[in-house]
Amino acid sequence: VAVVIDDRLLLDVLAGATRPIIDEEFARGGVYTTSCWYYRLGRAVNAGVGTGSLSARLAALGPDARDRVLWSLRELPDEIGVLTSRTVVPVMVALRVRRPLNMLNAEALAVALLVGASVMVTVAAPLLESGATDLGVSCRLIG
Amino acid sequence: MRGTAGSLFVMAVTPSLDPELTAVVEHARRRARDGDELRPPRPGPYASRLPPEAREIVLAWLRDGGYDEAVARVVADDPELATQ
Repeated sequence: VAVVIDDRLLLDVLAGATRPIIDEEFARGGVYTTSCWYYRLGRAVNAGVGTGSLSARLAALGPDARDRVLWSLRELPDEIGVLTSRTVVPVMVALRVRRPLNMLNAEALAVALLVGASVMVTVAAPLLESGATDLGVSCRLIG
Repeated sequence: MRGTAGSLFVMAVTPSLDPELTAVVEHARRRARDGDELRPPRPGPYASRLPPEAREIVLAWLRDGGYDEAVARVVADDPELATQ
């Protein structure tokens, strides 16, 4: 079964922190994320200028290296699938679940249905899990 | 009744989809397949393109809560991006 990974797992992947279960899916060409998680990651990478921001932490590398790293984190590797809104939105609109979902969660479930994947998240998401149950989609919380 | 491995897989993933949703998913899947969108552009193993020193910084940011703080700021402005 393919996997749809959340933004924290996506950042893990981009930074080279491998997990066997995701590596196995890469070998099969079955790793996906969503536009919302990809967008949220990009927003977080760009967010803030304080000492806790990623940009501030990367300053030690020098401006050119810092900019290259930030640029790399904004580009989704070709090994990771992401479906276009033309494909995903009609499925998001058609989802029927007991508890209403926001865009982030609706997209994750729609992509999982489209590619026959499990959703893999790192943070407990009760509404996402509830929707996944309604739709028969596997939703896995991993640390 | 025994089905093929493929049909068993689909049943396992979508045991109770209503017919309307099933039709929408199948239509979208066909379109995506026709547009060569269902698979990643370059399927296969992935290796990080970041230099080692940058990986350490990024992973520390993720592990010590810096990433979560940044996401909290993003979500405060845009609840559609919140984990629910």
